[in-house]
Amino acid sequence: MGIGLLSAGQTIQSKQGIDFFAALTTGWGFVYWLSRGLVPVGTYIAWYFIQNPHEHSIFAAALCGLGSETLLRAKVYLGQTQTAGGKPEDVFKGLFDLIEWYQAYCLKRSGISLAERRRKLVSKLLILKTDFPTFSAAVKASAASLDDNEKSDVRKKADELLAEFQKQLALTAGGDETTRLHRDFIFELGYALLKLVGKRGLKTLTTG
Amino acid sequence: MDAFRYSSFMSKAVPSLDEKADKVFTQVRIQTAMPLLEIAAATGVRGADLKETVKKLAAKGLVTVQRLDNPLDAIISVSGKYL
Repeated sequence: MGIGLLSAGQTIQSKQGIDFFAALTTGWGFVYWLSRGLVPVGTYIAWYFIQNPHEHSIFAAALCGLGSETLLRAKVYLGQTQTAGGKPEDVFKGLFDLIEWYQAYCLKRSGISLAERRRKLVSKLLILKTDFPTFSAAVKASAASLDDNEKSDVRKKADELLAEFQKQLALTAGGDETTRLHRDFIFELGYALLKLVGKRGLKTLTTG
Repeated sequence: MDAFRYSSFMSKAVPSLDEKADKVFTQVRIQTAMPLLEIAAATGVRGADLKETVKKLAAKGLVTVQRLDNPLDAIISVSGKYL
């Protein structure tokens, strides 16, 4: 089971580029991780029941883990095909094609859940803010509570976005378009802060 | 043994994209899924430009889009094929 879980964990880490533990807190991330861990367990259980008499073996358990993972990833060479550019390309098929689809499905759903979480957090904290320059100034003032590096990064980002906002404000026709511009920049700064100082830092900077 | 090959998870070839589209797609691919305005924060591509870029990527089948009509709620995710 450990081999399956390690393999799934490595995939989550390398494919999503996000914190492994964050992915596991989403339903799909956890289901994927656990289900990959259960493949070696299933293999071992099958092996156990075909023994007569039934006997447990750590060596067989390790072999079932490595063996099932290798089989899942093995591909059979079927022949050659031509790419659009006319180059010959080898064609391989195997169980991994199915795993790849399952993996992509679960990791995509898990990524969407994490994105939804970030969206809800930023939205909850910033939905009532309406004026970008005021919000930007408040963030810069609240940044005094951060350490020197974070303070400088946050202030730099707020200034950078304020300059861009003013440039775009000059080009807008007013009315709804201006309201939308304020909203978009408030949220953009919110996401930038989330990346710079994390969830707790964002809460401090936007509610302080 | 030539008939079997241990396969690692290989990245798929992506069609050629302009600079903005490439920047946006790379970010989405790294994160798997992102709110639209988080993409703006990460890439500097924003407003109508960003919306158009996302539509172009979706038309090429590189990303899938949810609620693009509302930028505050929109979520963009990489197509499973390019994950």
